[in-house]
Amino acid sequence: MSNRGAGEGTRPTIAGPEDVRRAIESLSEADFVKLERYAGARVSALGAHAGANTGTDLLQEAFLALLEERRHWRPDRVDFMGQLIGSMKSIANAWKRKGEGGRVEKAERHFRRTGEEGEELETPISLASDSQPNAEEQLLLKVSITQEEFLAELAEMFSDDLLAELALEGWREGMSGPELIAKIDEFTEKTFASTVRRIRRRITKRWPGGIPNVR
Amino acid sequence: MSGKKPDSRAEIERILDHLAESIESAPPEELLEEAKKAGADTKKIAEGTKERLLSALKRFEQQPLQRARQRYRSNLADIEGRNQKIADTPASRREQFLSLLTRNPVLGRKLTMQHRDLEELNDEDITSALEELDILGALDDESGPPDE
Repeated sequence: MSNRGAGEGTRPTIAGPEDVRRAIESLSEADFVKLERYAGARVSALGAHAGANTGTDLLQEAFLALLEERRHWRPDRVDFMGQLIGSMKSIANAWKRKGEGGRVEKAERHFRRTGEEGEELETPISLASDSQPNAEEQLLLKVSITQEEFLAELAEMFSDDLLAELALEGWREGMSGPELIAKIDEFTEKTFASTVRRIRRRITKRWPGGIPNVR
Repeated sequence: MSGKKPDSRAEIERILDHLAESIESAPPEELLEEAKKAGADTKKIAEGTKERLLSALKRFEQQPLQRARQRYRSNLADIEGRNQKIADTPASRREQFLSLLTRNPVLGRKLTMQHRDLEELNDEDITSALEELDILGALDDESGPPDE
């Protein structure tokens, strides 16, 4: 672990490339799936503000921010998963703000440059070729549904589940989990948590490759 | 869901935000199980994600090497460019050199002070002088080396 920025004799805090490599190697299949699903969900939530960016782009941006120390990873404070997820959340929020301001953020891969011999120049970021959407993502990029269709799908999906309907309705209206638990008698922390799990599972089952673009 | 007419994008974004948050707080094993049950190829997803991260790390670590390569190529192009500005034969190099001094009297005076007699300079001295003058940009104004 490097001690960049730390004074002599102080405990190293900021992770370097070797720490990052060890952290990647230590992740389980479940961890990678979580990163991929979270990235996809965050980009779905961005809607049009995501532009051409995919979940893969978001994860790559977060990872790049860590490597370039634009967002420092301090392993003594947060684990690798927490760092990447927190970073993705923050980057997605920044993209959203820019989108709301009329600008669509483009991930680094969209600025890829090559030299005269076709070699990839090292800036802006050579992560590009690896952040191209995979086959599943490309398919997903082509799939989009309207807002009406999306909400109709949800309504149909949960027509037999009153609690899920209530939770979704509350979310639509801007209520948080604790607010729903406080306001709706049927919800306790436990029933609300299990309801959210059911919602997530059914949506995952309906769209295993990720939620399509809602236009 | 109620039969309320679907309206703003903001409502959908809020739903999707909550879904993302539920993924954030869920244990990875639970998400893995869900994805498997939904028919996703989780092994492939995990391998692909891992590969992309490791590849990005490798590229990041290779940046200094890439920068050095770029510098090398750039320097090489500069050297090749310079050589094209310097004439090919000793006689034409001498002609180019003297022509340059004729057009730059100040430079000529300085070199005369250093070497006393410019006519005594051999080809190696002249080539070396032309290379140095080129680095200083003195050959940039020339249309090229004299015709052979």
